[in-house]
Order: sequence, then structure tokens, then C-alpha cells
Amino acid sequence: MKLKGLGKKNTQKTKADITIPQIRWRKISKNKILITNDIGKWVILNELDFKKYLENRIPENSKTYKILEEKQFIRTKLNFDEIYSTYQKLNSYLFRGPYLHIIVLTLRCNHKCVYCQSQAIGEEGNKTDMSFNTAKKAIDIAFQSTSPNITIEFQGGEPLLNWDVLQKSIEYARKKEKEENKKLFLSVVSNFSKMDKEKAEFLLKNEVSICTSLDGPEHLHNKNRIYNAGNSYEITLKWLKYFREISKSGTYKIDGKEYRVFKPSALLTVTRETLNYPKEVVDEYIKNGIDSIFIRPLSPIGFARKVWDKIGYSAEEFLDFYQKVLDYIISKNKNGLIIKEKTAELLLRKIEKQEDPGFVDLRCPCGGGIGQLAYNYDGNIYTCDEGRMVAQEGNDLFLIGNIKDISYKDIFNSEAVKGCSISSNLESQHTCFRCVYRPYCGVCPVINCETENSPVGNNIISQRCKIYMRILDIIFNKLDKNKKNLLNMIEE
Amino acid sequence: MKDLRILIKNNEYTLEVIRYVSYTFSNNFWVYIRKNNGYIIIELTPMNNQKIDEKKIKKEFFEKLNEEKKMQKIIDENIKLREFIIKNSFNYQPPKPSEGFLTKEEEEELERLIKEVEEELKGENMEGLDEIKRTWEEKHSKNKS
Repeated sequence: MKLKGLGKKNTQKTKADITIPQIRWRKISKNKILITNDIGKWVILNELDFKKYLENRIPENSKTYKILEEKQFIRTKLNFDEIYSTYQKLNSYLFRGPYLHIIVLTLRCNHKCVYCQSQAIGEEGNKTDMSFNTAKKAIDIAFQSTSPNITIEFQGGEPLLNWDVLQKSIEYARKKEKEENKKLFLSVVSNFSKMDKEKAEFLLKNEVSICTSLDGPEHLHNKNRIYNAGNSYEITLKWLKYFREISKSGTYKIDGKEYRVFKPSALLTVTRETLNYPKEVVDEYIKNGIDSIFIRPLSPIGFARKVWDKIGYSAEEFLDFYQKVLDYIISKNKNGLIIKEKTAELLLRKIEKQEDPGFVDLRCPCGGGIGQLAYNYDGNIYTCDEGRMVAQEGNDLFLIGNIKDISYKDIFNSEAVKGCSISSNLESQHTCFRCVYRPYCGVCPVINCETENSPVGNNIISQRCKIYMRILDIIFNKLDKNKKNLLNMIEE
Repeated sequence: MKDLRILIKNNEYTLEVIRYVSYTFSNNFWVYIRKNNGYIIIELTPMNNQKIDEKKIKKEFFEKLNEEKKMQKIIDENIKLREFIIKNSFNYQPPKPSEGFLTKEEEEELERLIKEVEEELKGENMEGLDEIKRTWEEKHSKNKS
């Protein structure tokens, strides 16, 4: 494809002396410079080759030049069709609309977790339960999304404590799916303490995916997830095993019908205590047949911010833990894949395949509003679940409006959604725009607000930035040394 | 606590480059930028009374200046191209497999047909064809010169 639309002056200059397209670079280890471009392609050069590249002195017949050309690092030899399609693939979320709809059915919970950001208020009473009418309106909005696929995630508190509304909502959503011809994925996040055979059967018949929390071995899980009426760890494992066994065949057969079954998944919350057990948490997941572990830093927002002195940690402490976990997982996977680390997997999909992994936290702009919406029990709609959490602490910056008097159009014209998009646009963030990890990363306006009192963060001091920069350093260094060790995490 | 002063000749780096590099030092220093007699003066005041290695900081500052100068040049040279690429990426429709890709046989057939049409045109009587080049005014205007 010819380069149409550029000024004559610019085209002439291109031919004469400009050979470098927009690139970014960073020294990732001794004598190793990583360079990336806008479509997420990357090359690691030694310092001498990098110098030669900048000075246009790499011989055209060399292997290095061929690689640079193939990966769109030579300005005079750009393949525009490839650039356009790769840009679309890497940023496909920009062409969809909100696909993740989080419905908070209740704030009630029977656990008192040390980090709980759901602001649980105990098991009794129903003042913080969502009514079916509100849930129905939330589902109606979700179905108005321009996204061809939507995920509705029911959570809480403990959503099973508002079982009647959960049940009706699931049935309503499945009915709506048929009417609207939109692909629907349903998910419930539960601690399983209120799960029984009847509820499990209902969820399986409605093809609902199950997610729970597993914070590591028994002593660690129960220390983080305090449950006075029983052993949280034992309950979690009992139902994980139940759903895992059923999912093995891929289908659930009952009353002569077959239903799709998804593997149950578990989420790990890393507290200061967890940092002492990198191998043990991985072993716990493997022992229970869970093939993916998501190592994410705890966000200092909402309730967790209040107790940060007790459960929080520095970026360096988290990174030390992350490195140990990743090394251990790689050693476990040497003879075939047993378990994936989710952060690495998400990033590798962008780095190696230039794919959008559908992760709303690492995007430009962030997924707040344009990729996800969170509906609180009272009908208030927020840009994201994190925005909802900080609202519980009195910060309404991420509140879009209430479901009873808002249209789908109003949502996207709201100050909250526009503000979220503008403040998380990496193009306007001085350091992010220049960062070598720009194509793979994203900022979080909610975390910025909580830590720096502004949705536009200062990445010079941001702990979150430090964490993702270092994680990406670790990944690229591993890709440089032994790609195979990591790439099995993104093999289908 | 001692302030650190860095002098930069006015024409050595753009203010944009100096401002960006100064910003990257703002986690540990209060940074003041002033212009004076053909020089830019950067004053770095440590935030936490910490001792600083002047030589090391200065070296780091100039390394970052040189790095940023290269980056800024690349950004400036690519602004238009980048906008062009992003704009087109948003509207891009990938070609369908049948579009734009001809097999060798199809290409040969196409070339043969083009030649055939060209030969036919050569053989045709071209007389009078110039008439269509004339405008309506030239043909029908009363004020013919």
C-alpha cells in the first residue's frame, strides 16, 4: 500500500534521511536494549546494534535488518496493511463497547476477610440487597452494549445470600440472550459458604461459570479469610472439587439434556502474609487441579487502604514474590504445562501475539466505562468495581448515575466515563507516552485518586507503575534468554 | 542539604527536552528551571535532606538529556505518520481473501486481456474522437473567436 495523505514535504524527507518510525526503548539488562513500536512488535538489540540502528548503519543484507524490517522498525519499508490490522487486533477493545457488567447483588457477607474491599456488613438484614427490579434494569443496560459478547458477573458481598434475586436474574438474562441474539457469558463469584446441591444444579443448568477465592494453603487462606461459622478453606475446596469433577467431561448431563460446563476458577489475594509462601501457594493451586494462578498486587483502595499498614507491602516486596512465583512455575512446567501465571499470560498475549486479552486493567484508555460497568445493589452505576469501592468510602468521582433515571447514551456522555478515559489516556501521560511498555500497559485512575488525589497519576512516584515496569522487565529478560519457558503459557 | 545546579547552554537542548528530564527527577528533588544569559539553569533541591552524590546525579541528568533528545527527534519526525497510521487503523477493512490476490494464471490472463483491448483500440478509426475533448462552450457558443 502506498503512503497516501502525507504532505509532500514529509514524504520527501522520509526518503532522504528518516529511517526510524515511532519507537520506544529501554535498557533491560547489561548490553541489552529492548525496542518496541506502536503495534506491540519488539526486538532486543545489543548496545552497538542499537546505536547503528539509530544511525541507519545496519547493513540491509544483515539478519538484524531483516528482523527489523519484518517487525516494522524500518520507516521506509513499512507494510501498512500489516500495521493497520495488527493495531486493530491489539486494540480491539476500542471497537466493541462495555462487555463486562458487574452486578453487586448484596453487600452482605458471612466472611470478614482482612483485605475485604466489598465493605461487607455482616450476614443479617437485607438493606444492602439488590431488588430484582434493579437487577433487571442492569441486565437491560448490559444488553444494550454495542459489544457482540457480554459477560455478566454476579458478585457481592456474598451473592448467594441474595439467592432469590440471583436466580431470577440468571433466568432473565438467559431469556434476554435469546431475544437479543447476543452472546452471553454468566459468572458468579462466591465463597461457597451458602452453596448446596440445589443451587449448584441451577447454576450448572444455566451454564454459569464459577469463581471463588483461594488464598493458598489452609493456614494462610483461613488467616486472610475469616469465617466464624466454619472452615473457609475446607468449604472452598469441597465445592471447587465438585465443580472441577463435573467440568472434566466438558458437559453437564441431567434430565436428558446437556449443558456446557466451565472449569471453576480461583483468585488469590496477595497480602503481606502471602509474601512468605511463594512456592506453597503455587503447590496449593496445582494440588487442587487449578491450572491458572493470578498474581496481582493488592490495590491500596477502599477498605484495604485503611488497613494498609497491616496487610500492605512495597512494590519491591511484591516484585520479589512475583519473581519467585514465576520462577517456580517455570520450573514446574519444564516437562509440560501444569499451571499458568495469569499476569504473564495476559502480557504475553499482547507481546507475542499482539492480541487483546480482554483485560480491562491494562488498556489505553482504561476499561472504566468503555470496557466495563459496575452496578451497585442500590442501582448506582460506576465506571468499574474499583470506582464502586472508593464510593463506599465517600469518593463519588466514578459514579455515573442511578439506573432508575439513566439511559445507555447518558452513561457514555457522563463526566465519570469521559474523565476516566481522558485521565487514563497514555498518549497524554508524559512518561507513559515515552515508555517502551506503552503498547502493553495501562493506568488506573481509581488507584491514582486513592494514592495521589488525582485521576491523572504521576508515574514517577507510582508504585503500580513500578510494579508493571519491573514485571515486564522480568518477562522480556526471560523471553530473551529462553522463550520456550514462557511461551507454553499462551499455547492453545 | 545542598542544592545542585546544572548549567546547560541555551541551544544545546530544547526546553521541552529539559523539562521532561527535570520531571523524571521530581520524585526526589524539587526542580527549578530558569533562563539566564544564554544558559538554562536547573536547580535540584533534595526533598528529604538526603545526601546526594553531585557527580553521579549530574552524569545521570546529562545521560537522560541525550536520550530524550534522540526520543524527541523521533517523536517530531513521526508525528504526522503516526496520526496517519492510527487514523487509518480505525477505518481499515482487511481485504477479503478473494480481493487483491491473483493467482499466477489469473495475472497472465489479465495481462493478455489488457493487451488484447490495447490492440483493438490501436486498430480502431480514431478520427473524430478529438471532438469529445471540446467543451460545450467551444462547440455551441455564439461568440466563437
